[in-house]
Amino acid sequence: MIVHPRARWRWAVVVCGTVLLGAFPAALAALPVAGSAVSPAALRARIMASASLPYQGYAESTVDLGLPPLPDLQGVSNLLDGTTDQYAWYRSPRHWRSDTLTAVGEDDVYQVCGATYLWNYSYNLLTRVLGTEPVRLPRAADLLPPALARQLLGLASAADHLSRLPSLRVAGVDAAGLRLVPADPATTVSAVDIWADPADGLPVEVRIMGRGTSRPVLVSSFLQVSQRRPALATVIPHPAPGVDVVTTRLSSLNGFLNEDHRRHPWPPRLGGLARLPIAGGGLAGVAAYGSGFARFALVPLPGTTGSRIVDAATAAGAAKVTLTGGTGVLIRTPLLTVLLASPPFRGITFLFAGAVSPALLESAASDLFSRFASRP
Amino acid sequence: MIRVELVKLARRPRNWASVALLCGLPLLVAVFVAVTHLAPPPGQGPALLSEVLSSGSLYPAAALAIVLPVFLPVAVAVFAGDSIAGEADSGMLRYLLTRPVGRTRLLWAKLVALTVYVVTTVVLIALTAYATGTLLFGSQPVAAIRGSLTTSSVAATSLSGSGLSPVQLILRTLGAVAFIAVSMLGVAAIALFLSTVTDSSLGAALGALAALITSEVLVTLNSASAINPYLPTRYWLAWIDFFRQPILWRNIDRGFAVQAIYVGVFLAAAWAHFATKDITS
Repeated sequence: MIVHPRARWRWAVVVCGTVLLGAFPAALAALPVAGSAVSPAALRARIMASASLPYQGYAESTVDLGLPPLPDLQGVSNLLDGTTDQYAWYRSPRHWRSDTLTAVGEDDVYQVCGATYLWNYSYNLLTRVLGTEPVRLPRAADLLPPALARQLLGLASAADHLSRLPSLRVAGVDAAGLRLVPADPATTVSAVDIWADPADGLPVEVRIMGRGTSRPVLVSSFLQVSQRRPALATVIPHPAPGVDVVTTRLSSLNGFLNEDHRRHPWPPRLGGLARLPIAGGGLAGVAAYGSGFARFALVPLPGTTGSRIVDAATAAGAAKVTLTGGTGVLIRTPLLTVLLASPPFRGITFLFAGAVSPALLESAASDLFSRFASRP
Repeated sequence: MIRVELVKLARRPRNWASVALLCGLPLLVAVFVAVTHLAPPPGQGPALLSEVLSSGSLYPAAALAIVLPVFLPVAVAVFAGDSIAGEADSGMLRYLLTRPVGRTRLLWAKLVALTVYVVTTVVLIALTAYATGTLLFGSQPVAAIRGSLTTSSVAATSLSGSGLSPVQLILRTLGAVAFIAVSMLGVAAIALFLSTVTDSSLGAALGALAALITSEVLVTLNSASAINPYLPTRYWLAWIDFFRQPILWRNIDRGFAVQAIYVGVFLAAAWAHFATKDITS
C-alpha cells in the first residue's frame, strides 16, 4: 500500500492537534501548585473561622460505604453510597441554598434566617421547617466541603494529631492540605484530609479514610467554586403557583419515630461512653454517646419500622450477632457501623450508628439491654 | 456543490421519513398522556414530561428528552454514516469526483448538509411538540405572579420550584434546542469520519453508535472517572440545566466545549483520510 506524502502531512496535523487538545487538561493539572507555609494549627483556625465566607460552587461527593438499601432510610443510603452532585449558594450561615442535582430533577435546601425550606421536585412540595433541628437525618448539604470540613474539625480533640499535607489545586484554588489523625482507637476514622484556601480557610476538598482501607471512603470536592457573594434572591425560595407549600416543626426523624419512645430514660453511659447533651433538647427518643470521632447515635425504631429495616439488612447479608439480653444485626462498612439491636420482648429495635468499632456498639447494646433486664 | 447536497437532502423521502418518525414519537406519547391524563411522576420518566399536563408549552423540552437517548442519535448516525459511504456503496463516489469537484469541497458540502439535517430535525421536533403540547394540553399561563415578574405570568414551573415567565421559557427552550443540536453534531462528526473510512454506510452508522454506547457505559463507571469529562455523551443531559433556576451553566459550557472538540477532531480526521483516499467504488 502506498501512502501519499500529503496524507502523511494531513494525518500529522490531525494527530498533533488531537494530542495537544488531549494533553491540555493534563498540562494544566501538572502546573506547579503554590505551596503555603501556614502551620497546621493556623490552617485549622482559619477553616473553623470560614463559616462567614460567602461562596458559590458546584461540588461532587462520592461515598463508598456499601450500605444496603434500608426501608424509610433510602435517602440516607443513597447519600452514603454513591455520587452526589450539588450546587451551593452560600451568603452567610443564615442565608444559603444547596441544590442536589439529578438528571431529571433536584432536591433543594434553603436556609433563610431561622427557617429551613426543603424543595422536593418529585413531590412538587416545598416544606418549611420552623426552628432549628437539633437532631435530623443527614442531608446532601452536610457533605459540602466547607460544612463537612468544619464539622469534622469541630469533632477533633486535643489528643488528635494535626499535620500539613502537600498543597493541591482544587477547582482552580491552590489549596493547603491539613491531615487530622484521630487518637481514639475506638473510631473507624483513620484520617481526615482537608484542603482549604490558605488565604481565608475556605475548605475546597475533604477526604475521609477508614481504618484498613487504602483509598478514601468519602471524597467531597468542589469542581467549580467562586467566592462571589450570591444574591439574596437566589437563596430565598420563590415557589411558583401550583407548588404545594407546607409548614412543619417536626424533624425529619419523626417520620419513623414513635412518640412512645420518648419515655425511654437513656442511661448516662453506654459502652463506656458518656451521653452527650443535644443542643436545644432534641428529640427525647434519640440519644448520642461518646466524644470526638468515637461517638454513636442511638435511635429507637417502632416495631414495624424496626422489623422491616432488620429484615432488609439481613437480606442484604448483614451479620447476626448475639448480645447480652438480645440479638442484633450488624452492618459493617469501612467507616460507618450500624447495629440493629432487638431485645427479646417489647417489640422495639434500637439503631446504633456511628464511625466506631462494632465491638463498641455491641457493648453499648448489651449495656442497654442489661439495664432493661434489671428494671422491675 | 452545497446547493446540490441540500437539494439531495430535501428530495430524499427517507430523510423526511426519519424526521417524521422522530416527530411522531413525541406526538404518540402526548396523545396517550392527554387521553389518560397519566403522566409519569416528577423525577421519573423522560424529563419534564410530568409538567406538561399543567403547561403544554413545556412539551418541546419533554419531546427532546423523549427522543434524545436513542432515536435522535440513531437517526443522525444513519444519516451521517451514509454521507460518503452511501455514495461509495452505490458506486457514485467515483463519478462524483470525476467532476471538477475537490474532495475537501465535497466533504464540506456533506458537512453543511449534515448540519442542516441535524438542526432542521431538532427544530422540527421542538416545533411539532409545541404545536402538539399547546393543542392537547393548552398554553394558558399557570397563573399570574406578583413580585419581580409583575408584568408577566408563569408559563411553567422550573425544576427548582420557581416560576418561569413565557419569555424565559422560550429562551430556555431555544437554549436546550441549540445544546441538543450541537450534541448531535458530535455524533454526526464521528459517523462522517467512519463514513470516509468504510464503503458501508451501515457499518459507519453502527460504528458511531458503538462509540456512543461505549461512552454511555463508561459514563456510569466510577472506575472510569478519570476520562469521564471527555466522553462524548458525558454532558448530553446537561440541557436540563436550562430549566433550573438559576440556569447552571457549568455542565452546559462543558457540553458545548466537548462537542466542539469532537466535531473538530473527527472532521479533521475525515478530511485527512478522505482527501487522499483511494476511491475504488
